[in-house]
Amino acid sequence: MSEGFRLRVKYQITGRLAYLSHLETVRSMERIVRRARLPFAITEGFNPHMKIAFGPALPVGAGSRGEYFDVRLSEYVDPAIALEALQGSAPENLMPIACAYCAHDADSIDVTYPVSVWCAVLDAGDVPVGDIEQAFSQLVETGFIEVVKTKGRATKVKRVEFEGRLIDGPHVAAGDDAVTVEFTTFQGSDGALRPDKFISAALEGANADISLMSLTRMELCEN
Amino acid sequence: MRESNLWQRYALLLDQVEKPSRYLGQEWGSVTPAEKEGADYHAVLAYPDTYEIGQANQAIAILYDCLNANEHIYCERAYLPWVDMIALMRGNGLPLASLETYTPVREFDFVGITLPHELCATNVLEFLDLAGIPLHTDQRGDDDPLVCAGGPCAYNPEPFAPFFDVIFVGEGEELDVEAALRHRELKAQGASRAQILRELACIEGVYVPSLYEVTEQEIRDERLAPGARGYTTVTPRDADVPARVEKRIIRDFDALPALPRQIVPYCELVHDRLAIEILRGCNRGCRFCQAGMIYRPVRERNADTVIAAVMDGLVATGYDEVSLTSLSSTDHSTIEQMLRRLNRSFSGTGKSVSLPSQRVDALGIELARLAAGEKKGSLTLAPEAGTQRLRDCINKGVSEDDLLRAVTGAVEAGWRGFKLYFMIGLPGETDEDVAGIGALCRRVYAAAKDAVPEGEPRNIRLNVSVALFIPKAMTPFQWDRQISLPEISHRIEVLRASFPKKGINLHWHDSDTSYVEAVLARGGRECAELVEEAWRRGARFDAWTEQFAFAAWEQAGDVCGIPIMQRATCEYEEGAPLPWSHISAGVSEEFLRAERARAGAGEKTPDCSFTSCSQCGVCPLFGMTNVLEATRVLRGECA
Ligand code: SF4
Repeated sequence: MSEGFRLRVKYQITGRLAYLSHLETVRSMERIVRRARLPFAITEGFNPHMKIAFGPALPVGAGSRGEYFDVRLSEYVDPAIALEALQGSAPENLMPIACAYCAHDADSIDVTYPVSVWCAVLDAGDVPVGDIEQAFSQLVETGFIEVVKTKGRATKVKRVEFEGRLIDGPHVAAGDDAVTVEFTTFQGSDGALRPDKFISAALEGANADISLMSLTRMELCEN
Repeated sequence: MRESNLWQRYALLLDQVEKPSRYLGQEWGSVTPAEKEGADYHAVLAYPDTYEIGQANQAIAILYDCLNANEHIYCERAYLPWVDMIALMRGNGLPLASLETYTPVREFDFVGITLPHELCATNVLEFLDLAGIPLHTDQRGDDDPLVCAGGPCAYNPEPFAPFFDVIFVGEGEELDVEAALRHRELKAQGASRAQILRELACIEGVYVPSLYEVTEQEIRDERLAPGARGYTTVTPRDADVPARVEKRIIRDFDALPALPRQIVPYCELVHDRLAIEILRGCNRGCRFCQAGMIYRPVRERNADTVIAAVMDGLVATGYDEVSLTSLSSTDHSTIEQMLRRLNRSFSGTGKSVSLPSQRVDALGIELARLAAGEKKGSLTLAPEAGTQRLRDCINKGVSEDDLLRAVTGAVEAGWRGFKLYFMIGLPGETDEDVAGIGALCRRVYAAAKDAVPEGEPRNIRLNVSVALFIPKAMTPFQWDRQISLPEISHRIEVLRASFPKKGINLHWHDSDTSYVEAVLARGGRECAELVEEAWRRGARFDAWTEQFAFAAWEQAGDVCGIPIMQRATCEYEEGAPLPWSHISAGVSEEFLRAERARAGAGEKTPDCSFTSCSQCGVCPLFGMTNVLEATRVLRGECA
């Protein structure tokens, strides 16, 4: 049987849709593909479903300038036409922005793009930017954060080391009315550093009234 | 109005709540302010539960479409936030807002709340309180919205009556729009709130509770302790207010749009699929079933219309599953044809069609095969009672052979999981009937296993769910009582003993909620005090097992003189006026009385949509008849 055509679609998550869970994004995107009437392939078997695969999950609350999914099409559609159809079927804040075919045996999205560039915007009020910088460097010096995981009634504390996971930054900069923090992470097979947890750990250390206004994955990149 | 947009303040709380997607709005298909620029009347439709339950409600979807189809009206939606968000909203002084524009609910002209079942009563108060709208109609002023209700509980509205300005009885497609436009007109004329209510009471199907005098009636039943209160009945204060409010009904159901505007949610709903209503009403006449009495007569939608709506709906929404909904979809005279056509066009596309519930006798092998497309979950059947005698008493015209045939047919068609629903505490029930549930389930289980084709694993999942009978207003059992706690304990013992130790999974539905539901289902306006007191003591989300606080209800019952258990286990006197006597669904009280007598005698009454009229009174009253697409053919033994 033919493997069809593997279309890689890049999309943005903006505004309030940053609050979708990964599963909600997946389901919504599948519905966008169906509304766009793309000739997607389906799996065989008892419970047939669309052949579609997504990249690494975003934390709830984080937006993105570029996420990806791969969908198999059973017929060739000009990528420009496919993009137009997807855009016409998508809500403004969950918008496909580019698409192109890739090889059948190309690596999965996770493997192709293991690096994420993040930008957090903080409302720091009167807190001097130097204090925020210091809070972040102190955290980086510690070398890890502890993440509490709850499963049912059981809670587990997991230590996530920065080594090999935080590969650039954090760079703290003062903007007009907010402070931005940029940093880059590597998501390997043994657990990623969650950007939201990283920020909240640093803000806890700062011990001042600072809140996270937005968190955005600016880019998913190759290694 | 509409100056305040609370989104920014809500957004700050989203990090702290369980499912932020409940509060986002902006779904595909929702009506945007830009589309309704010229509209000057603002309505909000609300469901007194969380987004994932309310957004799945088909009535809201239909009415949202009807109201927004009018150029003067912009209709939005609002749901009750979950308890985590409620706490944050109260902590931050944030009022409840609509989903489309995040406008505070109290700033709308019209707030329409659906009342899907009695256990939503405290949520109605939670909703009004969070919105900052005075709880009682008599506390509201000219600047407050018109607070309206509709839905199944409008057929006995009294436990809700003081909280609403108007209550819509019956089908709302025309009624809601008519009332909203009249309200708009009266407001423009500068009419006072009192004048508006009087005018609205003149519209057919509108009940204005504040225009009625309330009298308390004694309940003559020795189970009720001396001093306990009776129920109330109402009569109009003035001659121009209707003594009896007849339900509104859509005569030409097929002329309504089969595909109302669809909103595609981000958050997963309880029924997360396209739903197309294929018929209204069910005249099977099960004597415990309120829906079967209040939505008469039967009106079927044309098969071509249904198919077109399904096809267009799937494209417009991007869903891959459609449910053909109604009270009894397998009764539609062309159901097989519709399923076959849909399955043919879905073949190899990953799309599927499902039916919400199946009648045992209507479920032929062919239907079992067609009803799930290629996805086989578990098949739900509701024999309701364990013996033929009791099934005849409740007019559930299903034989054991029907059930066994349906199950073996379904196994042959690929189903391996079954869910069977039963009730205990039905009027006239004996221990033998209760033990009959286990015996019947054993035979179903054995037949299902035997039907598995040679060489395949005989893994049959049989889940049996047993609930306590709840007498409902406007049914032949409206005068009947619930069984008491000691009676329940005994019958549960009999029930458990009748089941095998292994293989079948027996689930007993909590009876405390059933008692509260029964009290409200047959309560008068005195029960509004009970609801308010229970809510003040912390009751809300009563339909959520983990949230249900029976102690709050019991205490409220004691304070209000309505002891829950005693009230639920009281019989009402035939012939005496009832709390809902001023509301009419068209079915006559004589018919209900006759049906009750037939239940006592174990006599069945056939479904008039298959045979001839059984004189329930609906058709002559509304000048209509059952509207069928073709002659209905009985399957199973009652044929
Ligand atoms: S009036 Fe007769 S035909 Fe009409 S719904 Fe009632 S029983 Fe059926």
